[in-house]
Amino acid sequence: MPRAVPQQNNAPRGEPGDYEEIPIPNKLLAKVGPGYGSDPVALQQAEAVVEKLKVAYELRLEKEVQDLTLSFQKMKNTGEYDLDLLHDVVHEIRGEAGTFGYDLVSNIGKSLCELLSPMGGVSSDDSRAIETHLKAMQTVVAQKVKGAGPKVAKEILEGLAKIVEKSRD
Amino acid sequence: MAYNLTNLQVQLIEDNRNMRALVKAMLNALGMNSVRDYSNGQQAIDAHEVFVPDLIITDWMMEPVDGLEYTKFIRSNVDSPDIFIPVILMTGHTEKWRIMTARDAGVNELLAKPITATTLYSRILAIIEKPRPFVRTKSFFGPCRRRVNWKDYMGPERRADADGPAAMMGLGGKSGRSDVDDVERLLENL
Repeated sequence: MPRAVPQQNNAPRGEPGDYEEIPIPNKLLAKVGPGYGSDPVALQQAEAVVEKLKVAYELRLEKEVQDLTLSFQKMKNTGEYDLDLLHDVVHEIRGEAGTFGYDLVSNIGKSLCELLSPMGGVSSDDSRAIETHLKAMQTVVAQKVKGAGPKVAKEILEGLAKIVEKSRD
Repeated sequence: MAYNLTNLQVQLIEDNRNMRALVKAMLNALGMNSVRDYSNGQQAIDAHEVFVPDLIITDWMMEPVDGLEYTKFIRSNVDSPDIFIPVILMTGHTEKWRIMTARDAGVNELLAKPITATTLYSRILAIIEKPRPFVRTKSFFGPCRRRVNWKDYMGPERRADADGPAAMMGLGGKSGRSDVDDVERLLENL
């Protein structure tokens, strides 16, 4: 839609005086300028920081996924599910995984969050759906699959998406 | 010539210790030497007496004060040190209704997780290079929510409307066994 021709706009507009635009001085630019654009050296340094922390992260990720799986097994055994806790842990794993190049773990986590978010109780089918996600996450971490992964990874994500979709029927 | 970010006072608020350390390390590597970190919004509020930030980078979900509540505090509370402080919100939730909620709270930039050095840097540069004017309506105060050609905006006028939240999520049901089997089979081939 063309946005530069005022007379073509017939949409209802607010009453005059309903809003006020407040131009503000650019305090940040005043503090950091003059300058322009990004600094490739600084960006490289920031990327190097992530790289440096990767080894420690990989060990931690393995343990986090292991603990998550054990935690779910315990919930399953007792029948007392803390879905908020599960969701929060998965959400954190998902956020960090992508930063360190584990995009597939991040995407599986996203799928699991989508599965858990609307869940009220946990049926046996729901339980199996959660376990499948956890198993997928464990497998990917154990095999250190980075990035989007091989072709089959896409099919796995599609399969998980179907599970999530069916859980909402 | 690149910007000199050395003296930029930054508040970083994130409840995940590892994530906090990682983002702080990235900010330091980008040249920001004055970064103070907190594990929730309340700690950041309490720190205003001794540290007034030029820039706030905050996570969303935290207790007792989350990133949105902290943004609202900055924009509207009488105790806010500066109602115009730019806020970058880090979040793994990128559903449209959440983005709108963040925008309506007065957030300047959204930084979707997973965070990379590139995305973090680009949001900071956007704040420096493309600042938006602030807008005050009956129900909103914060950076102009029209990101493109805001002066020539020709879309529907919503500024006088109440800013209600968008659709909420539905409730779930059964899951498919065959799909589970399919995924398990595929995992064997990974």
